[in-house]
Amino acid sequence: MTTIVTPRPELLDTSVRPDNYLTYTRGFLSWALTLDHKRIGVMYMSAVLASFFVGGVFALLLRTELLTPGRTIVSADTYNQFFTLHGAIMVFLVIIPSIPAALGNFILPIMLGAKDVAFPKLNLFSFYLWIGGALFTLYSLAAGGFDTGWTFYTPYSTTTTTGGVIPVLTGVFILGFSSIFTGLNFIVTVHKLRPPGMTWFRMPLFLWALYATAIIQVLATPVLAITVCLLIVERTMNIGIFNPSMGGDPVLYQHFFWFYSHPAVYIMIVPAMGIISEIISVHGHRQIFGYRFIAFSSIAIAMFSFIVWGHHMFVSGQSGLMNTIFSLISFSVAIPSAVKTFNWTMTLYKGTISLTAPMMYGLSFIFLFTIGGLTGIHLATLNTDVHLHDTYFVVAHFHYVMMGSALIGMIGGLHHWWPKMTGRMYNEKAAIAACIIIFIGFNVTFFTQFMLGSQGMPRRYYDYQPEFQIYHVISTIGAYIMACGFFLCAACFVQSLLGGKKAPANPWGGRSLEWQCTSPPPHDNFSSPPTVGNCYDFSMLRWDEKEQGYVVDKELEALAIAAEARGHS
Amino acid sequence: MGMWIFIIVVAMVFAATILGYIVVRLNPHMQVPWRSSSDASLPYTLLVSTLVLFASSATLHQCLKCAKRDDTKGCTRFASVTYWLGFLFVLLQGEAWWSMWMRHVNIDENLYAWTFYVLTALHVLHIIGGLFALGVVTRHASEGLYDAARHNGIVLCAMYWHSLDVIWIALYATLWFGSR
Repeated sequence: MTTIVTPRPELLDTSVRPDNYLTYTRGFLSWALTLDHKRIGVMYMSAVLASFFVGGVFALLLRTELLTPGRTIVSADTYNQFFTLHGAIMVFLVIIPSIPAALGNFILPIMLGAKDVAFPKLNLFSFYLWIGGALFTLYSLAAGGFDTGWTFYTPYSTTTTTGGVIPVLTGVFILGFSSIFTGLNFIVTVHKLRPPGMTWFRMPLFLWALYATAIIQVLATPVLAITVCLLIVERTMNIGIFNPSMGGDPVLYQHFFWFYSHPAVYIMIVPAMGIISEIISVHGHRQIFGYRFIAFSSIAIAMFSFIVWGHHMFVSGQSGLMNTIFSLISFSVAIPSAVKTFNWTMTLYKGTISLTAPMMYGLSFIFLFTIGGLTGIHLATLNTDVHLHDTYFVVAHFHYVMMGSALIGMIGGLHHWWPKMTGRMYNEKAAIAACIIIFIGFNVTFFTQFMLGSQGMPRRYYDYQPEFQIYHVISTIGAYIMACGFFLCAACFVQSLLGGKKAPANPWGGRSLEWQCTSPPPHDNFSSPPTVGNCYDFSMLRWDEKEQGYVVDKELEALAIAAEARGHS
Repeated sequence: MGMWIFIIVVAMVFAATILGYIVVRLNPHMQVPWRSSSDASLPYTLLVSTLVLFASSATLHQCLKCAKRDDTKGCTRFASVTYWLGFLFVLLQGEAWWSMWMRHVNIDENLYAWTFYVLTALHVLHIIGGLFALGVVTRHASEGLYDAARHNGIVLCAMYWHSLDVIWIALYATLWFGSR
């Protein structure tokens, strides 16, 4: 590889403020063809947030439809398309790429102390693959939409007359490639580009989480690729692999699908857990409790994720032995998850907690994840699952995990790194208010659905018994409260971009490397190799009034180094 | 390392496909026979194409050896031979398809023929992808870009190509046992 170095005009002119990645070059093409991981991260983030808006609108539409039994605003067929689109967009376009591709791209190299990811061109390519996949998904709407549910179960997905099934499957196929390339890039970056001093056990926990996620992305996503390929071929040419009348097996599709999609659940949640580890310790100003346990529990979750897919299929006619085995292994996922939760609470214990907006999201995460995780135990238990299968209980459970945990983690991370990404602070009070509104709205929406489900309301139904109506009304009201919260949150960010206070290098008191470079970071992240220390030792930081942020105090630093030396001797 | 991970990705695709094949092949509740008696057995062309693929791996290995010896001419020669052998493999697979098709396998009644087409097509698509890479390697070799110090392009291409070899053996074995 050769690099052509040309003198930059702004470096010659000292009156221009120090350059950062946002002002380094200008013009549309400088963004569209950028190889800078930070710009790619920002582009991903904008695209993901736009998709989140679209998916959210579908959520509100389907909740509105469910206000009354029977028809409220749309026909049953349109309703089927609404919930399918809501699910497919939120899963494939929002939650899966939100943390690894958007936040991860921006943060991973800086946190690691690298100048970029290992393969910058591949990184840009995977962004355009994402765009391609998103366009196919949009096109599927024009081609007649699709009403299969986001899981595309056979035989319905091979026989439905809606015309958008093949375009959306193509979209999912392409999005899968985007995900694989991002994972590949991250694994190689973490292995090869760590600067001197950045040992595995000095890596911030967010990096461990992204690393574990990347392993899942690389190993599981190829199976999704071949699954949707086979589904496309089956639908176009009727090859019969999922068709029993030709000797095929429709349940094979479920095995294939969940072999990817269960690990995919951890592609969503594990990076969010990484973010929470950062938020809890930085905003609690306390060394993370049980660093190695949290790091290894991420890897353990990644490993377990591959051997539990059968718990989605307890009622599919699987043998009793298989069900028992899958049930047992599913319970064991509770162990690494609980390890993390207990370590976070122990970190908070006796910490100096700043109730900032990211911390509020962090606390919400712990609360919601605990509910989401513990209700998972009901579903891993065979006899209760048979009753709860395909009811609103399942819907509530996975929204607590996928939205209340993964998405809240993402939004919390966005608040945490927003000053770093944009160089602007946001209105803290308004952001906290938005968080509280979202939290309340979320619980009103989904806690109700636990009750609906345990009383037997099946998921995805258009019509229902009148006795369920009160719950549906409450749930819909909650959805609207949540929407208000998200709009307030968006308004906060817009206000920050337009006229936010300038952000200091280290507004929260973090010690990992991204807080050592300016906000926003310069084009190549670090002018000189950064010094790597214990990224959770906050004892050497003090608040600086002039800087309006945290700085490293030389005296405290000397004390900390001396203490560490004593610890080693 | 990136290439290793990529090979793992490709291997996962084929592992899943082969596993899926085994599941439907051994399905105890199958309602129709796997293969009707009139269906053709696997064409012998596959044996020839297997040999061709092995030969191409050997020549690619020779190409790498030449590059390491600074033998630009030999490197170019072996690279282009590999390319054409790869091309020949694709043609032979096409011939195998044609002979299956001509011998009237029943595609509407059972899975035997379709699974043959799907598995071989999946592999050939990866070979065609590899041919693009081989084309680039051949051009670079003819431009004299590879020598004892710089031959990473050949190494990466060879890793991918050899792994497709191994995958083909697994696939062929699966098809052979499946056709019994």
